[in-house]
Amino acid sequence: MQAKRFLGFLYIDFKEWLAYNYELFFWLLNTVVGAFTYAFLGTYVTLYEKELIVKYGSFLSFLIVGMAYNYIIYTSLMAPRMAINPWNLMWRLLIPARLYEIIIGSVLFRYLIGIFQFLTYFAVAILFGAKFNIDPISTLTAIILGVAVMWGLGMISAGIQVITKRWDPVTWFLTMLGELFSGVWFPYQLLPEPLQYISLILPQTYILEMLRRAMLRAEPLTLMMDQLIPLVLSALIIVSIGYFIYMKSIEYAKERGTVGEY
Amino acid sequence: MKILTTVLIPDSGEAKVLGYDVIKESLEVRKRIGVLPEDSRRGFGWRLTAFENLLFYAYAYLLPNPKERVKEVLKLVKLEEEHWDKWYQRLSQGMKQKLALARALLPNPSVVFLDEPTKGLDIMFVAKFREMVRNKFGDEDRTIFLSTHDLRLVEETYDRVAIINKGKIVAIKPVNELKNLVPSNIRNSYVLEVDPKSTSRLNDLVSKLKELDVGWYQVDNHELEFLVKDGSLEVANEVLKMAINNNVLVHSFHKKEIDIEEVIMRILRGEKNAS
Repeated sequence: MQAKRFLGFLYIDFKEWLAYNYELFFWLLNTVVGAFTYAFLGTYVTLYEKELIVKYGSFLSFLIVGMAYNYIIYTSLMAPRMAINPWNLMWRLLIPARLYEIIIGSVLFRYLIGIFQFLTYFAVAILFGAKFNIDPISTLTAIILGVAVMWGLGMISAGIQVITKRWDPVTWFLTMLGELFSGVWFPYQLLPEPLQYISLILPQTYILEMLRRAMLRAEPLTLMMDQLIPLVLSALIIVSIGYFIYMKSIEYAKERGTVGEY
Repeated sequence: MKILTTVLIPDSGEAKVLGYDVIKESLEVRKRIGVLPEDSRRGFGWRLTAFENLLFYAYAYLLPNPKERVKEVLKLVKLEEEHWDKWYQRLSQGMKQKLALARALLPNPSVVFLDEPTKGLDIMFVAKFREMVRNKFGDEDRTIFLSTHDLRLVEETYDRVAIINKGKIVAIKPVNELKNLVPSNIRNSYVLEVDPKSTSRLNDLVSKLKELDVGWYQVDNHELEFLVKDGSLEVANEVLKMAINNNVLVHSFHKKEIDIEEVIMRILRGEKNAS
C-alpha cells in the first residue's frame, strides 16, 4: 500500500516536471555537459600540467582565477533578472525612483558578497601556495569589461524572460556551456578542435583569458590590445542592445499588466 | 487602479493624479501616492521583521527620520508594538494587512489607493479598517481611492462611488444619490409579511387589491410586495387594514429599504432610472 503512495508522489512530480516544456531536454543536456566538464578536467589537465605551469604559474592559480571570476560573471548575468523579480518588481516600481536606481540598488548586495567570495578564494589559494602576478589596471579593466558584457547579456536574458515568462536560452547558453567551454576549469585549447569554436563565440572565454593574463602574468593593457579592443567593442554593443531590450520588455509588461506575473 | 499608480501603461487616453500625468510625470505621482495592492504580501521580506521591512521603504522613499516615521505609521495602523520585531512570515493575516497599509501610508501620501483591502480578513480587522478609512488615516485632506466588492464598506465609508462593469464606468455618484438611479417603483414599494398559515388568505386578498389604488404587486411565498401611486402611505394602510379584516395574520409591514448591494446589482443589470 505504501508503495502505491510513493508511486503517487513520483507520478505528480514527474508530470509537473514534464509540464515545463524545456525542463527535460535541458536537464539531460546539463547532465551530459556537466559530466564532460569533469571528465576533461580529470583527464587532460594532468596530461598538460607542465604547459599550464609554464604559462600560468600553477594549475591552482589558473583554477582560482577561473572559479572566482565565474562567480562574478554569474552574478552579473543574473543581476538584471533579480532586479526585476516579479515578487518585488511592482513594489519597487512604486518607489519614486528611476529604474536604474532600483536595478542597481537591487543588486548591490550581491556584488558585495561576490567581491567577498572572490577575495576569499584568493586568500585561501595563497595559503595553499598559489602565486599571483598582478597588473592592477589590467585586472580592474578586465573585471569591469567582464561585468559590463555579462550585464548586457543578462539584460537580454531578463528581457526575454519578462516577455515569455519562461526559461530563456541566453542564460543557459552562457552558464552551462560557459563552464565547459570558456576555460573556467581548464584551458579551452585542451578541447577537441571543433569544440573550440564554441569557446570562441563565448564572451567569457575572452574575459577569462584577459583576466588570467592580467592576474597571473601581470601583462599591461598595452600588451593585450588583441583582446581589449574586441572586448570594449563587444561591451558597447551588447550593453546597448541589452539596455534596449530590457527597457522595452519592462514597458511591454507594464502595457500588458504582467509585471507581477511569473 | 494600476494605471493610476503608474504600474501599468494605458492602451490609449491619459490619466492624471493630483494634476500629474501618470506616464510623463510618473515620479511626481509616485511621490504623492500610497498603494495597498490586492496581493499585499508582495514586496515584503519574509524573514525581515515588520519594522525592518518598513525601514527599507522609508530609506527608499528618502524620508527624513526614517525610524521615527516607521514607528509613527505602525502606531497609526494600530499594529501593536509587540509585533514590530516579528518576522513578516510569523505575523497573522490581519497584521500583514496592517503592515501593508503602513507601507502605503509611509510617505504620508495625499492619495491612498486601496485594492480590495478587506478581502479574506477577519471581521475584527474589517471593523477597525472601516474606522480608519472613515477618518482617512488621520488626515482629513487625504483622498482615499478604494476598490472593493465589500459593499458594506462602500456604504459606510465612501463619499462617491464609481460602478464599473466590464471595464466601463456605468455610474459615478455620491452614495446617497446612487439609490435615485434605481427606478422609483423599486424604491417605493411596501412589503406585507404574513404568517405562513395565512398564505391562502393572502391570495384572496390579492384579488381585492384592484379595488384600491395599487399599481403593481407580487406575491412571493408569504410576502406581498406592492406599489401604490405616489408612494401614498394612506393607500398602503388601506391594504394593511384589508389584510387584517380578512383575518390575515400579519408579521410585519414596512416600506422596502433598498440597500447598496441591490442598487448596484440593478444598475449592473441595466435597470437604471431614465430620470
